[in-house]
Amino acid sequence: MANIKITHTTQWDNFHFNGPFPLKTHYDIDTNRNIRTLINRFNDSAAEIQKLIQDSLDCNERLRAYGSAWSLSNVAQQGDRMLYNARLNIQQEIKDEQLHELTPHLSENLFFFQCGTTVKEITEYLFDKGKSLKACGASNGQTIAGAISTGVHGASINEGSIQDCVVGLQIIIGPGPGDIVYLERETEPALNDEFAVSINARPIRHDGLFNAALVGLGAFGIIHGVVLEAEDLYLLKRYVKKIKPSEALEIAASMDFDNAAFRILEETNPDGTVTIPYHYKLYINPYKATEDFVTEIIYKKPYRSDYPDPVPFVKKAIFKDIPTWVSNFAAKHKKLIPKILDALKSEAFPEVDETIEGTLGEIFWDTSQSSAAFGCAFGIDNKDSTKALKLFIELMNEKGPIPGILSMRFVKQSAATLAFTKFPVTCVLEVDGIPWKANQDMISLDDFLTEVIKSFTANHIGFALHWGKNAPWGFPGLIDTMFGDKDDEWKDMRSALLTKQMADMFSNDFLNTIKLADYRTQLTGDALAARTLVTANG
Amino acid sequence: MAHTKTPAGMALMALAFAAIQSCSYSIKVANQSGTAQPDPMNREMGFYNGKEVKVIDTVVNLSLLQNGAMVIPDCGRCGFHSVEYKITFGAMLRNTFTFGKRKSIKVKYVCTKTLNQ
Ligand SMILES: Cc1cc2nc3c(=O)[nH]c(=O)nc-3n(C[C@H](O)[C@H](O)[C@H](O)COP(=O)(O)OP(=O)(O)OC[C@H]3O[C@@H](n4cnc5c(N)ncnc54)[C@H](O)[C@@H]3O)c2cc1C
Repeated sequence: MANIKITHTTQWDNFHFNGPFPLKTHYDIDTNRNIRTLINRFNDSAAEIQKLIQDSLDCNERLRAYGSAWSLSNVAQQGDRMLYNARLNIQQEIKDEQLHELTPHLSENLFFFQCGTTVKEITEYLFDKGKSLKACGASNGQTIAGAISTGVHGASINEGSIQDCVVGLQIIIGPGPGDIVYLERETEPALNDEFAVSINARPIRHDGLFNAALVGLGAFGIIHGVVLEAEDLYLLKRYVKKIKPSEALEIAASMDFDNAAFRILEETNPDGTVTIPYHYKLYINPYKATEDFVTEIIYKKPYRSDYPDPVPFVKKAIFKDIPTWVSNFAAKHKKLIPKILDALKSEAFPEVDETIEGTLGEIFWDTSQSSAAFGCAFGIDNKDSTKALKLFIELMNEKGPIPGILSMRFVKQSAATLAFTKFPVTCVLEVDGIPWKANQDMISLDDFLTEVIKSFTANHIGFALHWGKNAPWGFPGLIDTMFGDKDDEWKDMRSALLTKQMADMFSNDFLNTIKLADYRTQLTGDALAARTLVTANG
Repeated sequence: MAHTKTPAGMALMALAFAAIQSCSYSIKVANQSGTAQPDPMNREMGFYNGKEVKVIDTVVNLSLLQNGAMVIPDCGRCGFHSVEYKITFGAMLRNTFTFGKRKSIKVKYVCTKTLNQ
């Protein structure tokens, strides 16, 4: 029997102290390591989670799984019962005989992870097998289930976000024997039915359902297992250069590295063409936006072992443990904010002209930032990036200043229905900083971000917000502004997978605020087909 | 008592305080690989946020240490994720007055998260 530590409490907080939020009962589950075979150990955890669901039903309370609590929004929070799952970290290879007969994937590239395995654990496990994740965020502490549930991205122009390498999901959708499902895309099957049976799950192959559940915000049930596609180990070569804003933004809007004025000599071919980078990120001081942008450009290289350890050079993260008194001080003397940010630049930006090489796991290593912080990320079409940046900077100067620094990353479109990386190339325009107490002179973070939303809308800039970051989530009509009809598709698929009772069990305040919690009894078309599959042998 | 309120007295106290402070320090050593054993209910600003922290705060006879290492059973096979060794002024005084026979030990450590492979 998996071990569950129960704590009765009144409140809970996330990693960056954006709460506290109310909570009645906290469950901390660990696998039972006395069970010898991994698959039995895995199935035992699932059974225990099902008992917890039954108990929550009996007590008429909601239950929500969460991972490392790295989300800055309250997407992971739920007032009744929260299930911490980061100790559930079983990791397994996939064998040839487990492959689906129509799969395009190779077994050597597929791996099965239990929900709480962190990105760092995954990269280390894959490294030992000569493999690597295709992409990850700027750091590595998220659990795999938590990362895909909000759509964690890096700046991988051609690979997309973490959820884009997921090919199978085992989800617990209720307490009964048929309530563990194994979802895949119908058009891209990965593993066979025997595999699903081995994890006590019913296989369901449906593209729309899979894509909706992928960035599921914790609302599709408890994701317990994730099948990921990895690739051969590679190195990333990171250059940090200063680029004129006009040139950097030209590239941002076009992604045309071949014809760009800026080029890196070592990455230019004899015929004048250039290697297309794996990653392109701009760091921008909003209070000195005419200064050249510190730009991080990373190229993918074949793996070799004789490279110097890059970790000592990558320890820098935006806003390293800067005490909150700095921002509270800044809120009282807001004219000083630009000066403070300028002074902190060396902490926040990578060292210019420093070139390093390392694996994905080394380049995007541990975060050193574990104090109060805020972060907000707007996904916009890269073609709008110059205009959006200009508006953002104007607002930071007019309505602020606020203690935050901007960056832009560029990510390939995700197939997930509610991925905020929804444009063909999404420019993720981010502001990260230290939270402050608003006062009569100083705008609150929510009010400031509301101004940004209004300005983007007025200027016809389409956007979607990162689910795991701060935002004024109650902004009227926000979900439709961001996703048009996609949120309806998502709700339909959620209603196809879950009973009404279970949909309520996995709802929370966040879903209510953003208007994603409602349940559809009547389904048509693709959603009805999905429900038929779900109920077929359930 | 009155003397301490004079500027000179205050300066002297500040100096003594600074000296004590500089005698007290801590060093953290962390493993580059591996993940820290988590503690979701431990919310504290800084390095230990979300980590399960264990503390050894004791005074031992030197002989206990000289004969070998202090053995910690609870980190299992995955070993330490990080260790912080702290020296305080009080501990240094104790070491001096006991001629080093009794040593104060203040160590904070975090184990590496147990694997499931
Ligand atoms: C230091 C730091 C750096 C960051 N860098 C980036 C970055 O580079 N790129 C980026 O995109 N984001 C970044 N973020 C945001 C963060 O990565 C995301 O919010 C991510 O979702 C957090 O993962 P987690 O494991 O902590 O999940 P949590 O925050 O604990 O949960 C996130 C969501 O997943 C759900 N969930 C978790 N486990 C399960 C499960 N088993 N079943 C169903 N639902 C589940 C929760 O209910 C919740 O809705 C960063 C955050 C921090 C603190």
